[in-house]
Amino acid sequence: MKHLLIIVMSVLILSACGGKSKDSLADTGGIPIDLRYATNLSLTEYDDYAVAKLRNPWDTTKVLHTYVLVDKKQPLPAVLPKGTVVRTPVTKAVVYSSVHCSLLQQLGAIGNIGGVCDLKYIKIKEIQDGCRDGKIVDTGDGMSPDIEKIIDLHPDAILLSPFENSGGYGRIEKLNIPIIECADYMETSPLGRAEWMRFYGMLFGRKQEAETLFTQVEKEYLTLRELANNAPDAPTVISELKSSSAWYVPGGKSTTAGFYADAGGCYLFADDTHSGSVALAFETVFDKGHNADIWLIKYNQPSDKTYSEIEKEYAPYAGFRPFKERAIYGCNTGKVSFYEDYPFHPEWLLKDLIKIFHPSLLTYYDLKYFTKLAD
Amino acid sequence: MKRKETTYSIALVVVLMVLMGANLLFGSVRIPVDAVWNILLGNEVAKASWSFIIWESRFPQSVTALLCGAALAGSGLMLQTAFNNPLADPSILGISSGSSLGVALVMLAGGGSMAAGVFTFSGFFSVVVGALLGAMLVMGLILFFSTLIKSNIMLLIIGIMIGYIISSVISLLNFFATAEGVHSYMIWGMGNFGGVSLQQLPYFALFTLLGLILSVLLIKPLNAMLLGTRYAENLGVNIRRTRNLLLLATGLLTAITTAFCGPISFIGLAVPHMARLLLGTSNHNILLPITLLTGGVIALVCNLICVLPGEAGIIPLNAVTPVLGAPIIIYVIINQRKIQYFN
Repeated sequence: MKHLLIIVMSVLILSACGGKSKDSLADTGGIPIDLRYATNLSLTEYDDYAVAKLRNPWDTTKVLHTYVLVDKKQPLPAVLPKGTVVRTPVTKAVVYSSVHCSLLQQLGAIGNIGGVCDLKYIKIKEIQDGCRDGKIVDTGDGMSPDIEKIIDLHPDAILLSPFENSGGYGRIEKLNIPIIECADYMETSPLGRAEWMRFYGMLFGRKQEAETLFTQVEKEYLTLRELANNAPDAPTVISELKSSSAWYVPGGKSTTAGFYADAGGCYLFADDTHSGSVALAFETVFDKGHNADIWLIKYNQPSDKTYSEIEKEYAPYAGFRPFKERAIYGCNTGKVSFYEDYPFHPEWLLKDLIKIFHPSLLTYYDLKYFTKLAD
Repeated sequence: MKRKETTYSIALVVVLMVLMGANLLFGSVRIPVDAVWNILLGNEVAKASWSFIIWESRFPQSVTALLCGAALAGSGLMLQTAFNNPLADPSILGISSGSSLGVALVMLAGGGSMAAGVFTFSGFFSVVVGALLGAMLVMGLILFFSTLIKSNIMLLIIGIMIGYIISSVISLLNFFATAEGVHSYMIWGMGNFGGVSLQQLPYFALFTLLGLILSVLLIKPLNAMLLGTRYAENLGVNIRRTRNLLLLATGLLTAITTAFCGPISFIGLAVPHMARLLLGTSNHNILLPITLLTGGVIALVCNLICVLPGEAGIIPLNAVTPVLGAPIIIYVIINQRKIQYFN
């Protein structure tokens, strides 16, 4: 019986492997682009086209989407691998998130944006002006975009963020416009997410610019990390505030935890196994973190938070050592472009964190995102 | 009959004490029994953080749960009697929706803070103020309508209508709010007994007890109202004044609990039925005290269930209360004749 099971299993496994090799047969002849950090993306260049394969971040055995990028000036090759064909460079894209808008701005491709969603979050002057003058279309809320405006605009690609089990993208899927699923936010390492800019560069005909920018980001990041790792001490870190019943703490395998480690900090929830946030009870956080050296918080409100304010909010905050010793740093995301910057400029955030964790290492640097809380 | 009631009261008080102890003993962090005992006696223990957790987190949370449960159950009972409707509860008159509206305005439209004249509230404090103002606004509206309308059922319908209007305003606010705002509003809506800190506890307790005392004073007219408004009037009860006092007591209790703990579902609806099942009578002389005690017991049980996952995290309160409450309601509907309702 046992032998039979093994035979059946091996036949199944072998047949599974066989299927895969047949599938990858189409990949021969291409030159894979060496991606050093991104885990959910693979790029391969062929003579007439390039293939971008996005791995499903929620089920890594599956492919989320395959894109075949063909130059607009070239005729469409007769034989193409399976996937969504995107004619590049994309010149009139609808972009859902401010993060990607600001990347395109840095790549010099802001003119290739035809429409945006959630305009109120996009703090880029060219886009705000463009929308006012009617050059760029405001297609409304990212969760339920104005389908008529999108049809009217007739973009050549739609860049949006995929969500797990979101049940598809509704009617915009039926418009026959390539949907670029920007799954970069599911990368867990800071450089892994930033590396996706090489893919976006290829889409928008800014391959060289993206390579240059990424090399620069990578070099700076690695230099800073090296600097932090050689620091003599590693301060202990906790982060965020309690929201109602739960204290949402970045998981041990999250990007945030990766940043803390790279900046030479000892994150107190580093042994947690989640890649997202974890809802913990106040007492759990207190038990582990009341003796932390540094406490980092992020919030979005008109005026900056102060010690007296957070104590008034929830008195037990005052029991933490970083509260007593005034070692809380706050980032008011409504005032600084934190969420817009860090995905593609992880080195900027890293620099802030290193300055906080090891003030002696970057003496002449002023914090860009965080500030020391006032009394 | 008298003996049965005394037995139940004593049993409930004992259960309440045991549950209070259990709530102090169990939490997300494991603290040994002898350490908890020493902390309560005021002795030094191995870890100073334990004593902080017990006094600053678990103790206020348990007391809040106890008071909240009693307050919600008590206002549920009063509303059920006043409106002669077994499905009435604090949310039905739109009072808790009013609180939600206040909170939604603070969290979704105000960017988490609120300016009132020279005072600027922010964070949790502004949430409490928003909820209180919202509840008071709706309560005022209901009281105003109650001067115009005599029929209880019509007043109930007006309350429900106000609730609908408020919920559509909240949907609108949600739609145009930031993702962070929507998230924190959603979390608030899940309920939480941990919102009252040790420093705020005396105020919270004072107002809740005030509402509870007011409700105890209303026992006599409540019993008269069981006979129907006509009979009650014949007995010399001033119906309008009684109704206004009832609205004031329930409004105060709902406003204060919703402000600090969020809209907690089902306790107000289910607990009075549990008490009736237990006693088999509608006499408020005994029903009200038993309802208050049962409310405290149920809230403490719910609070205990919330921390069951231990180190791994917590369960939101409003995911727990209906699981305990809904089966009771179903039982009530199926066995409606067996319960002594309004006689």
